[in-house]
Amino acid sequence: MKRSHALLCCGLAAALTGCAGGKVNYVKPDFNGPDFVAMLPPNNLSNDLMAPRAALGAMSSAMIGLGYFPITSPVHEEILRKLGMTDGGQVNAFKLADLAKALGTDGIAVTTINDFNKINLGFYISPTVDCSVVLHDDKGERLWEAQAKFTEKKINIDPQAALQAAVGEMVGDAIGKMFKTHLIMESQKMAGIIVQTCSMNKPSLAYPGPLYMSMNAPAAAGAKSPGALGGLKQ
Amino acid sequence: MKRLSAVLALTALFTGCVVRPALVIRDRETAAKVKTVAIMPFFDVQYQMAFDPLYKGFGDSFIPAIMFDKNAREILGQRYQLMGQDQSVEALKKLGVEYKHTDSSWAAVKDPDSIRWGYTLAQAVQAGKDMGADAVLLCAQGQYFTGNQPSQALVLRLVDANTGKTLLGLNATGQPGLFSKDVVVRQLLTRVAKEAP
Repeated sequence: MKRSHALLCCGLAAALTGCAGGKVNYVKPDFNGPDFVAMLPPNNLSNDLMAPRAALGAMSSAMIGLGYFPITSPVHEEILRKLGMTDGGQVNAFKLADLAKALGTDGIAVTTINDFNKINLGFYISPTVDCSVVLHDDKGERLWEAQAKFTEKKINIDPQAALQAAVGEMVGDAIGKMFKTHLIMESQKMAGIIVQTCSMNKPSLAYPGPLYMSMNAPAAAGAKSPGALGGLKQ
Repeated sequence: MKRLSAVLALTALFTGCVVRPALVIRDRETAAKVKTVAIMPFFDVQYQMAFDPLYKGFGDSFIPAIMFDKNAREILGQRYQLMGQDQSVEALKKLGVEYKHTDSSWAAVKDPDSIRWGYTLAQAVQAGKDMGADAVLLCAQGQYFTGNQPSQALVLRLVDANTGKTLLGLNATGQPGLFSKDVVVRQLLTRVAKEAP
C-alpha cells in the first residue's frame, strides 16, 4: 500500500512539475536588426506591482542574450516622462518612431506582462511568469514578436510537508518583496526561454538579423569578400 | 568514463564556460582607423548589484564594472590607447549626467533603485568626442537561466565618437567559474583584441 502511494506521489510530481514554452508570433522577412534597443516600461496586465521591474530586467537580459544592446536607465525614463509616458500601458498613444528619436536608439522593444503571480496553497505551489516582447525599428515598424511562459507546479501530498512548504514560501516571498527580488529567478527562466525560442527560430531573430546575414554570407563562410556591411564571424 | 565526466564538470565549475562570442563588423573601414577608445560606464540591466565604476570597498574586484574596466585595459591596452571609466564619468558629469556613487554593496541589496543612474547614447558619444577619443566602448550585462543554470550575458558595441554609428558589435554568454568570475568578459574582449579590423 505504502509502495503504491509513493509511486502515485512520484507519478504526480513528474507529471505536474515544470511546464514552460515559447513561441514566435511574427517575423518581418529579411529584417536588419537594430544595434541599440530602448526597452520601454512594460505594459503590466498582472496584479503585481513588482512585475515591471523584474520583467524588464529579465527581458533586457534576454535581448543581450540575443545580441542586441538594450537600454533602460533613469535618464530614458525621465525623457519618456517628459513626453507624457509614465506607464507601459500608454504605449499605443505614442508614435514609436517619435519615441525612438527622443531616446536616440535604432530600435524599440515593447514588453507586455501577461501573467506574473505565485499560487501558494502549501499542497500546490505554482509560480508563473508569462511575457511577450515586440521589437520595432526606429521607424516604428514591427520586426518580430515572441512570447514565453515559465511555470512550475509543486505538489505536496503530505499535510506536514505542505504546511512547511507554505510557510517557507510565504517567508521567502515576504523577503523577496522587501528586497525587490520577488519572482526574479522565474522571470530570468522565462527570459532563457525567449532566448532559446528566438535564436532557434528559422530565421534566427538574434542580432544582426537575416538581411545582414544574407548580405555577409560570403564573409561568414570564410571567403575573401567582406560583404557590403563589413563581415560576420561566428 | 564516469571519472572523465566528473573531471569535466569540476573543471567547468572552477574555470567557467563560455559560448564562443559572435562578432559583427558594421563598418570595417572606420573601425580600422580607431586608435583611441573611451570606455564608458557599464550598464547592468538587472540592477542586482553595484555597477559603479568608482566603487571601492568589500568585494570591489568582483563588481562587473570594475572587472570590465580592469580587463579592458589589460586586453585591449596593447591594441588601442584607452581612457578608463573614471575619466568617462568625469566627462559625462560635465555634460550634466547625474552620477550616483555607491557607498556600500549593501546599498544595492537594500534598494537596487537607489544606485540606478545612466546616460543616453548621445551623451556617451559626446563625452567620447570631448575626451578626444575616436570611438567609445559600451558594454551591458544581464542574467537569464539556461535550463537550471544561470548564464551571464554580455554585449559590447564600439561606436564612432564622431558619427555615433556602430563600428562593431559582439555578445557572449557563459557561466563564470568559482575562480574565474571574469571569464565571459575576457572572452569578449579577447575576441575584439584579436579580430577587430
